[in-house]
Amino acid sequence: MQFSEDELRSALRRKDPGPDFTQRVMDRLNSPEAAKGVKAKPVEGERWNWWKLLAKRLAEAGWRPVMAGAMAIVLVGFAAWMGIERYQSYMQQVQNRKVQEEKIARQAEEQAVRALRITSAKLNHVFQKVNGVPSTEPKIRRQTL
Amino acid sequence: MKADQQEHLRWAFERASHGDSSAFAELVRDRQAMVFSICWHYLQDRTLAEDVAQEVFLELYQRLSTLESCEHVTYWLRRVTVNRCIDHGRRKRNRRESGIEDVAEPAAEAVHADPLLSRKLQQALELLPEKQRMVVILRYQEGLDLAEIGDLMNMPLNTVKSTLHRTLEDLRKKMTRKLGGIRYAIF
Repeated sequence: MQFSEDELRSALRRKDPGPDFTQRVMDRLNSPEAAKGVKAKPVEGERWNWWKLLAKRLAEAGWRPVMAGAMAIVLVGFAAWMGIERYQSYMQQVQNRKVQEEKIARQAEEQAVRALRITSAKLNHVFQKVNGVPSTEPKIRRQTL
Repeated sequence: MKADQQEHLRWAFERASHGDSSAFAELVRDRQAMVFSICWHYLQDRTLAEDVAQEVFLELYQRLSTLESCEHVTYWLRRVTVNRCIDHGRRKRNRRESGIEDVAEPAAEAVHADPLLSRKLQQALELLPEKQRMVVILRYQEGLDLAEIGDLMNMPLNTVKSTLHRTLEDLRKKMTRKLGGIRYAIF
């Protein structure tokens, strides 16, 4: 079965919802839940606040790309901030570990030097005893390392 | 007469945008057939269509401060109605209660047309995919050109063209299946 464009137009002609429709809309408009979000337009002069102008410009440019861009900036900023925080924390740990290791190394060095000195004195003493040379150095007390 | 009506509507819009509810009622009265008909032809459910149309007007009242002119109101109403209808249509698909045959058709201006053909066309329209259905409604109910339809539905012009072409072919096929053998007119 074929049909013409006029017949399609006729099948889709506008239909009136009935005389009470406007009243029903106004009744819903005056209901408490509808009244919550209703705002009147500000009087002329108040109208071109900077933020309104900005909103208008953004709306003209298309909100979606602007919002997507803003979202991307926020996400990248957040990720960068997290990265910097973690890097700083890692560097702090490395620094602390280095200081600790240096301290241990210094202590070990001191102990090694002291041990060598004691060994040297003991060997010297033994050597003199063996050769019958009276000791010129004071008697070294036994030390525990 | 038409210029006077336009002027009156501009005045009503100005007053409504400053919070005058009686002026808003005039705006509703003037645009209700447009909004309701898009809903009715798309959803094929009188109660749901009226509910969606009312929601659109409630939203209009809340957004009036962002609209610049009467023409902007018409554009905004068409755009929001299209989106609301598509949303409600998706929800309705899963809980279909009554088809077009169960519901009395709303009043329309008397036009010399074949009522059987009109009925069958509306039934065939209901079987179309949502975007195709809306393109046909905007084209043949609202008389919009293809660029305006593309703008309202966020579709490129060529897509609107091909969609409309394909939809009319689908409609013809559906009508042939429904009333095969009866030939009305050729376009």
